[in-house]
Amino acid sequence: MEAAAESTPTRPSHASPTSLSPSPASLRQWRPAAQRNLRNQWSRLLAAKARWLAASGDGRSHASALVNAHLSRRYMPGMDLGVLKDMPGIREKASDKLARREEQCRRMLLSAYKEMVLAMADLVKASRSMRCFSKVALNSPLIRFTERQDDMNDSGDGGGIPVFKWFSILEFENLAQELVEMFVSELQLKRLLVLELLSVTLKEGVEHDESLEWSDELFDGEFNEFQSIGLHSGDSYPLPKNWSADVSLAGQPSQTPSHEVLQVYLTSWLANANIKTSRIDEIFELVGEEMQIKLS
Amino acid sequence: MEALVRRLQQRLRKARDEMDRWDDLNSRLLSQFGNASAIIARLPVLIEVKNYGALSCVPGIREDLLGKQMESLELILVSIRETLEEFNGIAKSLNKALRDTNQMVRGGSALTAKQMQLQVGILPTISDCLDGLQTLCEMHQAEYALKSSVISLVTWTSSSSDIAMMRQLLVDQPNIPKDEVQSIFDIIFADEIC
Repeated sequence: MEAAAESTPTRPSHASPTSLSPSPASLRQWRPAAQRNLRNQWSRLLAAKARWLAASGDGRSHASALVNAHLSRRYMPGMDLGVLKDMPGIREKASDKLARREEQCRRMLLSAYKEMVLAMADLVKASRSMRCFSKVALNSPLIRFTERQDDMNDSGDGGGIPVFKWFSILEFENLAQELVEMFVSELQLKRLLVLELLSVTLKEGVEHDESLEWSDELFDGEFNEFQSIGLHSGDSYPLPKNWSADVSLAGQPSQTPSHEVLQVYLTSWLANANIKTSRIDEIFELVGEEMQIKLS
Repeated sequence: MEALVRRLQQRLRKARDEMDRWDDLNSRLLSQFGNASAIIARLPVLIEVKNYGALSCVPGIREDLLGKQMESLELILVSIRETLEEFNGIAKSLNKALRDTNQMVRGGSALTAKQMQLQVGILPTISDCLDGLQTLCEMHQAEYALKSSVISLVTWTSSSSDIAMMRQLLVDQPNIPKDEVQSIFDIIFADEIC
């Protein structure tokens, strides 16, 4: 999030003699370009949000299938198999089958998580592309506009004027930022759950022995994505700031989580506790109204 | 006399269509009730701090989760109450049908007891129609009352055995015995079956 803060220039104050206040003529040209860009970015936010939620829903069904298969396998030795109990090797065969099913669910859970990361990255990128900069063109009477900042004196916000009716670029950015924060914190929670669910089932697996840690990359390129949205820098991926590290993930007792703990994991996946759906709808409605387009 | 019976049948057919919705509503109610009881069953697990495993490092997670679950439970209860209101609507419209049919019968010249009992072919008698509808009305009224009192007992502290018992009552619908309803319709709409 720091990256967002850094790249957000403060709004030029009207009294400040150093800030170049844009000429009325250039503003007249800036406005339609800025409006077009905002409409695009907010549609992109909407799509990214839908993509994230869909992936989260998929993740939920894979996670509960994984837990079911895992628990069945765990209880297999004591399970009452009725008339089947005399079949030779029946428990081993059933356990093998469940283990394969777990492996499959693990892969699907991971790919749903990956999809959530990608959707998240798109969301963040859109939230940071709200500004519209004029392009420095030589020998051309026309002013062109771009998402890239060429001129350091151009803050890309049209001097803080309302882009449509009321909201300035900064206000659009703040609303987008509010969305981003919800999804980032939920993604981190989900990451912890993925990590736990994967290691739980690994621990009892035959072929694997090691457990995953927070600082492990869950899929190839995960940290690149995090880096590209400023969630992560350098070599390590730290725990979110307000999480307490003393209940260390790596130092988990070797005992496997109980049935109840797994149930809490699944419930918290389902609950999307950080996603305030009504607030999200409100934001999109507000912005849609301001831009005179339908965002829902 | 026959014309009057046909008009009564007409009115009763409309009432029967209303009643058909009752069963659909009941499956909706059962699925809503199932969702609510899933949450209620989960709450004791969510309350225990020791069940949070690795999630314990996330501050406030227990409160957030409990809050979200209570919120969902509240929403489900609201939609359950809406479903109940639809049950009430059906019970009311059966009552309306009863008043209408009484009106049709009393509206004309007073009928003798013999006319009330007069049977033309396989058509039902006038009192078959009135008594049958009366019974159906009472059944649905009583069942609506039962359902609302069952639902009013649902809270987040309900035990799983209570929940199971409530569910059974909602499934059984003891005030609407299916065979009795069927035999009433068999008499009133006897000419339809042939």
